[in-house]
Amino acid sequence: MTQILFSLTIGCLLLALVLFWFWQGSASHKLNVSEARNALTVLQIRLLPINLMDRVLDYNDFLFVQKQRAPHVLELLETERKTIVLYWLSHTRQQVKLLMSFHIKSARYIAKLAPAQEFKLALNYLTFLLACDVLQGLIWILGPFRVSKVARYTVFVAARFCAASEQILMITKDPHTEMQQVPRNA
Amino acid sequence: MLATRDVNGAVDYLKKRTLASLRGDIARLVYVAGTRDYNSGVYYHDGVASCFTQAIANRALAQCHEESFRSIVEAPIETLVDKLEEYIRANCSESLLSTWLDIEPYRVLAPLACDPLSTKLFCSNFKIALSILASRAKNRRRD
Repeated sequence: MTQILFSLTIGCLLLALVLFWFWQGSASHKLNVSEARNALTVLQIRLLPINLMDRVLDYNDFLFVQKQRAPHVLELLETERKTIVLYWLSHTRQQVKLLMSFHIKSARYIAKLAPAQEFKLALNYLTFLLACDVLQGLIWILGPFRVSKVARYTVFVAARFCAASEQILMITKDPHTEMQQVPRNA
Repeated sequence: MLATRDVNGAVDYLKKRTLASLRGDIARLVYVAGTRDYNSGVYYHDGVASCFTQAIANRALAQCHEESFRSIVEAPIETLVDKLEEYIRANCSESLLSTWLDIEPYRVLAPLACDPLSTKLFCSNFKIALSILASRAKNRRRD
């Protein structure tokens, strides 16, 4: 009896997981080519300028505030910078995920898409997600002013993902004509 | 479609006739941001509009606003503290520091088309720079 209950519980959990994935997948299905291009533009123009990230994590700011001998201001600086970097991380990750979900959905409809391009995109995506998690963890452990190298690397990987995504979007035509084509593997 | 030459001419006019007389980057930013209507986001300046057109004046003021904003958001905190000190001295107002700390008027100084990351950095830098000045003032009073 206990074994049957255990199996049923596991079965229900697996079913819930599959339904959750299906629900997430159908939610991201709404993105079309123009929205994907918009997400890419937002990423490239608004979220990836490296000079802005350098400005946020400028160690000279930390040194200057430290010299003021006002511990509450130093604390405020660290909290503010941490908030900004976490905000940047969350928005960049959201835009990259949006783009990736579009590529996953549209990949089988693009006849010209080479496996090397798909592999490059997937590799950059996974590296970006890993870099995001590492950066987030390091910010909590070390504070915002000791993670500038990892932050720069995260921006670099995101830019590489954008470049790969841009190449694919260039060969992706209008959604209405594209989605009506016969799938590549059909 | 507005001619870029006209807009550049209006920007030069604004810089030479109006902004040059203001002391410091923050004074210029406060002035330009103040010419923007809070409801519509459109900039108005009678002098520029009479020499050019309202549409050109709007574009020229938006450009000057963006330039002033960038010069402040890209500056280190040390430079911002100096600029704020200059602004406070020029206004000869003792209550300015506490007013700015309390009601945070710098939040309306960002241009409309600015990216959210720059706006966040701008507000954050102002908050920190004002706290540094408040801390210095407190130390001076104690001494």
